[in-house]
Amino acid sequence: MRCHRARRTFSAYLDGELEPRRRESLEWHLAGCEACAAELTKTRAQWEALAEADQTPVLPTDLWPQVLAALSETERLPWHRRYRTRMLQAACVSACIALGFVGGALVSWGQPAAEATPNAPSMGERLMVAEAFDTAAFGLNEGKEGLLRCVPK
Amino acid sequence: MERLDDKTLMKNLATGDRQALRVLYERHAEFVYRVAYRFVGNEEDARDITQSVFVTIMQSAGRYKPEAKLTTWIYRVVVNRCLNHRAKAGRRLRVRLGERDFEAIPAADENRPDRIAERAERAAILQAAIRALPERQRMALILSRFEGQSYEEIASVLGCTKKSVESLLVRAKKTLAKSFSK
Repeated sequence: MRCHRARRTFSAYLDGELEPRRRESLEWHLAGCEACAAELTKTRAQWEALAEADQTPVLPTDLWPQVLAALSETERLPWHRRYRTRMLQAACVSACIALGFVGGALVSWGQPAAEATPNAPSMGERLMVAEAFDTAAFGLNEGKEGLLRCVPK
Repeated sequence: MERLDDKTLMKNLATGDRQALRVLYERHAEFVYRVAYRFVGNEEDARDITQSVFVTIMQSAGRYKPEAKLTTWIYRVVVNRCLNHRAKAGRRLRVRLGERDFEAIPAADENRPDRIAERAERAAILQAAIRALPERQRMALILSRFEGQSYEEIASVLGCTKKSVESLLVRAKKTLAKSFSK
């Protein structure tokens, strides 16, 4: 047995879970390998430290009424009815969301842009705003259309 | 009722007998809560898991096959609940351990106040490190090291082979060792 394979069996060895043949093979290896023997001692100490650090949790005394309450809650409806009710609820919510999306899309597509934004500034107003910007920054060569592209709408 | 064996209690439970559930709760709630608490690391979630395990036992009593050992079956329910449980924080802890966290405290110093405080602190760190392990490694470690289950029982509970359990424990040990700061 090689060192890396021996070390993989340490936990099972310490737990008494190694089959006799593998255990013998490991013990044979340990007898001749000081490094693995030291590693086994270290592993044993680590597992012991884990056990020592463990603080056994204590069952709360008031848990039984909570179990009864949960049981009553689930027994109101048989499971297939509860399942069906939940599926129906989920389907209704999904349908409402889908309808909302479709309705919103239809409303926005069905109306011309001008009607959709009746308070939008006129072309003249937008040009005035454009001219208020630094014309050098936007480039006069592009003309009014070029400026318009830069005006925030 | 208290004298009835688990299998008879499960039969009674299948007919809706809540007194049978009460007796089963008294017999098994301790380990259910213990495993759940060690797995999730807080009382609130451990209570929720324990409660839902007993609700499941009540609801599934009719499907229980008496050939299976009841404790193994309950362990399986607990493990499934724990593995499906997503901690409310939803994040995996990252803990760095120091070599000293694994050193045993000399028995002669055990009752010194500073040693008691040190032990409590070290326990908290090690427990946090265990909770930071991947779920299946953590469960294998809990069942093996703290519940004293054999690899065969753990394999049956986790639905894997004995070899896989061995491998899970080797990896758990490695993962804990990787947490060493140096």
